[in-house]
Amino acid sequence: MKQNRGIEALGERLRTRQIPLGWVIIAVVLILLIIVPFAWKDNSYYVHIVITIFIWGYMATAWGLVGQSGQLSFGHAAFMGIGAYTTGILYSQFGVTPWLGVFVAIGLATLGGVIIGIPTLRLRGVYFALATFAFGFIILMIVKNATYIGPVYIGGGAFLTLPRAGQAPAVFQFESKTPYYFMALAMLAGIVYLSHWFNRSRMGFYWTAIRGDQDAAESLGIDAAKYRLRAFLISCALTGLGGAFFMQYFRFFSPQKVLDVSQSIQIALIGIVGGWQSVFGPMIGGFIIVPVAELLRLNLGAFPAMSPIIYGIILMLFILFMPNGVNEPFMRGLNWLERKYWRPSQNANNENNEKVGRQ
Amino acid sequence: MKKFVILLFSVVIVAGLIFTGCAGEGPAVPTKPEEPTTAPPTVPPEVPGAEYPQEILIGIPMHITGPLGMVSKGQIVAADVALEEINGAGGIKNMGGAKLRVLTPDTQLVPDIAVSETERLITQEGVVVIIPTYMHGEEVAFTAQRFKCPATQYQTIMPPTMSEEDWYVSRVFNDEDEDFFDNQAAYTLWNQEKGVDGPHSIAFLYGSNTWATEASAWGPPMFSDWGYDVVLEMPYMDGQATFMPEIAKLKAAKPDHLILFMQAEHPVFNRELMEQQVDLPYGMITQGGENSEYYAILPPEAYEYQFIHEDGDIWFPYRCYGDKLAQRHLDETGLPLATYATNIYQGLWLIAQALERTEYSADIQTFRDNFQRAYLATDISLDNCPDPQTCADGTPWCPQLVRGSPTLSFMPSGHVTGREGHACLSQWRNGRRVPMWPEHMRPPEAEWQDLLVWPIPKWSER
Amino acid sequence: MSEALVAAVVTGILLGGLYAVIALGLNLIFGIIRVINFAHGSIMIILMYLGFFLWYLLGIDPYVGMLIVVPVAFGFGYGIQHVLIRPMFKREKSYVVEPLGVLLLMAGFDLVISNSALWAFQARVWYVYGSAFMGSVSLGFLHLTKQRLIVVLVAVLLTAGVYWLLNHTSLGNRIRAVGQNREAAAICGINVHHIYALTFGLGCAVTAVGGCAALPFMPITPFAGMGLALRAFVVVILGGLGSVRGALLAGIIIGVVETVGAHFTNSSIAAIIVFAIFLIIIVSRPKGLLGTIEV
Repeated sequence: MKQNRGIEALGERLRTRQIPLGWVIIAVVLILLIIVPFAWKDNSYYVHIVITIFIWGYMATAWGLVGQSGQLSFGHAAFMGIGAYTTGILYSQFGVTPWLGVFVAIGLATLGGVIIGIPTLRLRGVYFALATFAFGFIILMIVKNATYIGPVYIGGGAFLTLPRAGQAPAVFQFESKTPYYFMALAMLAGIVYLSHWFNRSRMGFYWTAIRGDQDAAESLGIDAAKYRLRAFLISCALTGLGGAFFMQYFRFFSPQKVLDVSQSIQIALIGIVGGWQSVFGPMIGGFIIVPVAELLRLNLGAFPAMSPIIYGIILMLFILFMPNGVNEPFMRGLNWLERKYWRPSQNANNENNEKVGRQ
Repeated sequence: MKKFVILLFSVVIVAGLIFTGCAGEGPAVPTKPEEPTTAPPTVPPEVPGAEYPQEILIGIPMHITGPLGMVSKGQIVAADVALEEINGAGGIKNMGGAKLRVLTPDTQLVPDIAVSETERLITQEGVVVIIPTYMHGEEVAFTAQRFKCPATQYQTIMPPTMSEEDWYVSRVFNDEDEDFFDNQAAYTLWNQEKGVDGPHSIAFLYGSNTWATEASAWGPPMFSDWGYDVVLEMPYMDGQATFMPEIAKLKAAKPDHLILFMQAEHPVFNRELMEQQVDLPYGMITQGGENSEYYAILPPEAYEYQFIHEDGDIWFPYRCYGDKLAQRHLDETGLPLATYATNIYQGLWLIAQALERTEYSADIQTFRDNFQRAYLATDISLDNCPDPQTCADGTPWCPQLVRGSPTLSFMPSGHVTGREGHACLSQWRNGRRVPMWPEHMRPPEAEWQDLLVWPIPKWSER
Repeated sequence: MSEALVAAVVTGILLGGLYAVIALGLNLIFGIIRVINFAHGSIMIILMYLGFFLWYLLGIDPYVGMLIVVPVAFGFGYGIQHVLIRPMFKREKSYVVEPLGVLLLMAGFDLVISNSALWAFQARVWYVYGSAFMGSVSLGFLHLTKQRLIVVLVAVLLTAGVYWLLNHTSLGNRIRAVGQNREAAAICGINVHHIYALTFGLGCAVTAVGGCAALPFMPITPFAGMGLALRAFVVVILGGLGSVRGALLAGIIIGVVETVGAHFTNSSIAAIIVFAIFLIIIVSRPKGLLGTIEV
């Protein structure tokens, strides 16, 4: 690891291109993203779109953690919904500020993960996916059916709103979109980094082994069930956190909005398009799918059924031809760029491992 | 480098969060304005040479695709008729004859899309006012309030949302709970007319959408208070494919009367009820099954004697609707006129008369605020109609009062005052819907009044 | 109460008949090809639309329309397997494990099919009326809809038919061989992919029979298939993969559970119970009641 020796050293290293291209790109993109809400201050609709990209990128990355351990969860919206409903209800009915409520939300989402994760420890592949799907469906039905659970008003099929507090950072409500923007950006960057960190940790190592061939890994003494459960629980907790933010931003929530099957499919679609077993993949997927979806909706307004049809076609095409998502070609392209233009003279292997990471 | 980048952006993000979170005060929420309580607001004089817009945009998010698409089709017809009349008469005269134009994006019956389309209409398209319609009206109104755009609501909202703080949202409609007063009044009247002692036990069957869940929450306590025995409260999932379990429960509980909060499931429910030959001595009434399309595919026996709670404006004054709206609605949608359409017709006319009293401003937010002030100051009656018209047979009518109420003004909370002539209870008789309550809604032809059937005969006797 | 309970049980049996037929088709696909056909509901709805329009435009009674719809269903299913799913097999690393990708592929296909139906036919609720066998049969206090009884009859007949096909014909032998071990079957000279396509087509055809039998009393909307297909999944898992008789038995059980559950609580909770059963079975005894295939 190179030592940070100040701006001049940084500039020097930039000039001699000792820094991997990937990091430079990330820095540039980050700076651009930071400027965005100020540059587009008058166009809150566009800022809203970018925030949506961040949110879905976040969800997909959290979902991707399960993918890193080789499983596909088809009911992840349940945890998003649990997070959303928990913070929303705690605030609107009990006056608990979301800053605290979010911890409860994470706790409940993790609990949900335990409820479904432990019994399904031994399930593989398709059956695990089916089981998570059924779980998601059950949660959806429970919420849709319950008007009250004890003293708590759930609302059944009706939607609930957060009482408006105007400009109140103490309860995580703001008048303008900018604070939400930065929070979403921070969350996205944070979770991508976390995913990257897990990937390179010992546990991530085990995940890769399990993902490749579970039986072989187990024969080497890796407790597949334990590590898969951990991946699942971490993912659930983070998804719950995302759900809490989701709800704070949109300020109203209904089962259809946060718990529906289509939300689970959306998360999975973004993850798959991006690359469901990679670190950066789901985020890239978010940057692709969300604008596409929005464009579809705006331009094909006359044919509203078109949008899910195109979604379905995209999903099918990716499964058939690019099941590992765009992450692989993306990284390879980055690699090629680096070798060709950024540091053509050096042997590309050393630095690249750090940047490219694992597939 | 890696550490540096992370440090850099963490600092920037946190700083940005703190900076924007604490410093941003946002535009001030207008407090309750000082409304002219005595004199009506004077019409702002047309300033010669001032720059008025060519068009004034109104946003109406509609659910064009989905099971309730026919509702939106009717609404579009009504909007066309209203705009032809308004623009044809010279548009908004106090704004240089500016024409009204309506934008109708499709919400696909998905609340998420309803919200983002509303947001887009307000922030991108620059509409002056939104008319939330039918389903997801609450979400749309909520979004409009959030973006400080006037919303003239025609649909149920939960009372807590309707307050003085929601200054931009006004409501030309009544609470769902008031509908039950209509039911009770109707049952009482019919008991008197027929010399019977009406239903004593009542069952409720309601769907899972917002409207049904909320409306059905009001009913049972009210009916209990009135002395009825609420024997069943059955929820069902919207789009349910069979109602056999619910019908079996009805058979077991044997209520006198059934109150339904049901829309597109009527074809299934009515048919299964008929097949199972479940007798309801005082029949059933649907609070949401106004759409004639549901019954078009049923054999007539499946809905004969069924009551419908609908908005009375489609019958009042029905002769006039015939030459203005009803025929065109029938021609273009194939269905008889429905209240969803008349809501839009009246809504646009109300907006037009408010615009005539609005001071124009090139700044869209000021324009919206001025509009809302003018709108909330609306005070119309049959004698004091801004745009009086005449029907073909000489009857006078006021397009701003088509919902049947003889007056229209707003309370400080934005809720409309007065609810006369709001609802109508009609009964299917021989393939026709005949209004049976209130009395003045009944068409004047004498023989129709004898058509009321209360109680209704058993299946075996039909 | 007991009268209502008996009525509920009977209704459950009638309902279960429909589930059993759909599950039969799904079981063939799931049990032999080991593919989770997420799009089963949409495929069925498309075929029911065909049956509907045969009635609506040409006046052909759905029971007669079956003669047209079923072969179309077979061809459609054959095509799906051949075009969409076969390329997945070529790529699958492990030859025995059920392909996860196919699940997603079919989920995408489901989106495409059901929304194409939405686009083409709008979201109106279409409903056949006036077909044969209308009315109900009275047994004391029970009123049994004739059309629903026919569905149960169809379920039993089809189960018997498929069972006979699978166990007493050479084609059935080949199908079962491929289902047990496709590599070994290939070695024996069986054209595995042709058999797969045949099975998929058969599964769709069987479901189409059920769909046409249900058409006289079931309203069709573009998304009506999802709910039915989900219950069919539960039935398949409960009855056991590869077991034709299991599907019939499990169908009836699930139908009864659902209606009796709705009798004591309400329809939504009954649906939750059904899915809870699904989870419990998957987790504890994936083989199901009568299943012969190891998971």
